[in-house]
Amino acid sequence: MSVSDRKAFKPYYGLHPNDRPLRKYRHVAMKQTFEELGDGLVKVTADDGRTGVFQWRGPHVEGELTQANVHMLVWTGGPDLPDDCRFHWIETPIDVDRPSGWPEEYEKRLPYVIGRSA
Amino acid sequence: METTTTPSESRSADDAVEVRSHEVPYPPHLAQEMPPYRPGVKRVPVDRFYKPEYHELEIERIWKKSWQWACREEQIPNVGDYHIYEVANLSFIVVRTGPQAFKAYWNSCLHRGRKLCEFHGKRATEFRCMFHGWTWNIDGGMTDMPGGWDFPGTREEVNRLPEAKTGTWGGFVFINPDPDCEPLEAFLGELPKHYEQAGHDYAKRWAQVHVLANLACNWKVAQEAFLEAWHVGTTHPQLLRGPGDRAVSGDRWDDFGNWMRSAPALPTDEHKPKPGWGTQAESEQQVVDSRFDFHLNETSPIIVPEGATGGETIRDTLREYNRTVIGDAIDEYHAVHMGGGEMVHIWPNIHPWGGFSRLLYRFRPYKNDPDRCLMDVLLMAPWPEDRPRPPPAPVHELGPDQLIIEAPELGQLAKIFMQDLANMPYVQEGLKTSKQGYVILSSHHEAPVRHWHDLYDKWMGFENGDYLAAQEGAK
Repeated sequence: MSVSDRKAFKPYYGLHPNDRPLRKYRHVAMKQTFEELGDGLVKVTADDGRTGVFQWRGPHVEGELTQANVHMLVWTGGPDLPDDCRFHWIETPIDVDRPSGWPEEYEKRLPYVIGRSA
Repeated sequence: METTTTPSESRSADDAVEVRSHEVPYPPHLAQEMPPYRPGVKRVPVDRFYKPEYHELEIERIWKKSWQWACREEQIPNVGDYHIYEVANLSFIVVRTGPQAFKAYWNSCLHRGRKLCEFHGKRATEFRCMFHGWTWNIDGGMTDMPGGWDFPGTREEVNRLPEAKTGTWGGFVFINPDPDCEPLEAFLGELPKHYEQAGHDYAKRWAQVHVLANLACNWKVAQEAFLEAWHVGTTHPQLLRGPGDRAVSGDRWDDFGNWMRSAPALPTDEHKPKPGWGTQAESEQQVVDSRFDFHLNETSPIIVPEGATGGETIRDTLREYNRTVIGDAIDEYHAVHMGGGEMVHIWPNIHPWGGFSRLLYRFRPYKNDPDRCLMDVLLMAPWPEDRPRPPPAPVHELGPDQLIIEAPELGQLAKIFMQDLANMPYVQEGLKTSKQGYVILSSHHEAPVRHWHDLYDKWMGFENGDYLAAQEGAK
């Protein structure tokens, strides 16, 4: 890819702008699956079949499974990023053709960061 | 020393370094190995993390004595532009006095002590106190002394603003309040040479993001959470590495005196992975999905090619991304640079990561409160040399009650910090209720934390024991 083809790279973020699926992760060491239920609640299912529902900050709500890794609860059910801000920090969007350095859509999305009044 | 890599030595998402770099020599600064830091555990008294007497002593022996990064050159681009740098209860005016000249003044009027400047400013020609009007020019000389007739015999002692020493490296403006300090160049040692060898000139980077968080913990508590990566297995279990529990546990720590760095094990190393990492990926695709945060209810748009590893796929992705920024110059870099390559910890509080990782941290005590601190997070983005660099990001300051995810410009990092920062108030509270009275730092994984506390003991005058803690024990 030459310099003139810079924009040929397709970013991976912003895939679900209007309909992002609820989050679901697996903790491979603890053998548990974490599923976002909405409203800050997370369902945890152990490989032995036990389940529990937790608030994203950690308190148990219901179910036989009463303990879960709070950091996975935060990750699964805590406040989330806007879909177009899910980028890995090494791939923070850049447009070298714009004076601000940010792609145009981010100037609207992140006006404070780019130095314009919100 | 030139070292190339082979596919069979691929170790993990971050530090497997083969792929397309066969013709690019392994970076010599990363091949440089220092003698192992002295082994053993270190017990650190908990008092230093919350007691006011330590905070007061740190101001005298660390913040009034150490070189510290005050601002970036591009934050004060024109002569007369100034930046207010604050640490604990100290405040300094850092001003550009020439095209490549900087001065720093103690931010206190020599008349009645009012701060001369409350805010950063532009194109100043003088600093006039807003109490009674005493005035100094940006070179520090007094230009106006209203009511001077009423202060007989004082003109000489107020004729110049007291200065701190200044120095620059990589676009960072450093200050040191100690008039007898060693030059910045001597303090940094061979650090600048490493960044030259990395082709990673901070002076040419663009400060794309700058977030300032106000945290409910001591500055050392916050900083130490970023000095080691061992916590990732428990605090960030979604960041699966693997396969196997090698990854960071195979990194090495190199001691360069005032700074230490974590560097990946060399491709030629035959070290045995150390147990304790805790989590591991079940497939190569999981390595990629965890890195970019694709979860089980969505389809990953980045598929690991047949026969490739997750680490190779990540590095290829990062290389192609960076090609969109600096063009084919990216091919001049070894694969180890794509994800970073090293993490550097400079005394007392600066943490630049390496390569294209962009990350830069700084930790400072917040005013006179040992239970609070400030954490700066910057993303220092690469930028093509043939184009004018954008202005640095304004500082996005988060209040004490704001979650760091309210800075979405950090991207996925904001979510990761949510996990780190969730620990910190509980560490601060737990230290205060510790019956044991000390924390234990490990021999390998926490070597950089031990190294940092060894430096702390030296600067604080605790080489022969923490006498403040000893006094407390004698009560």
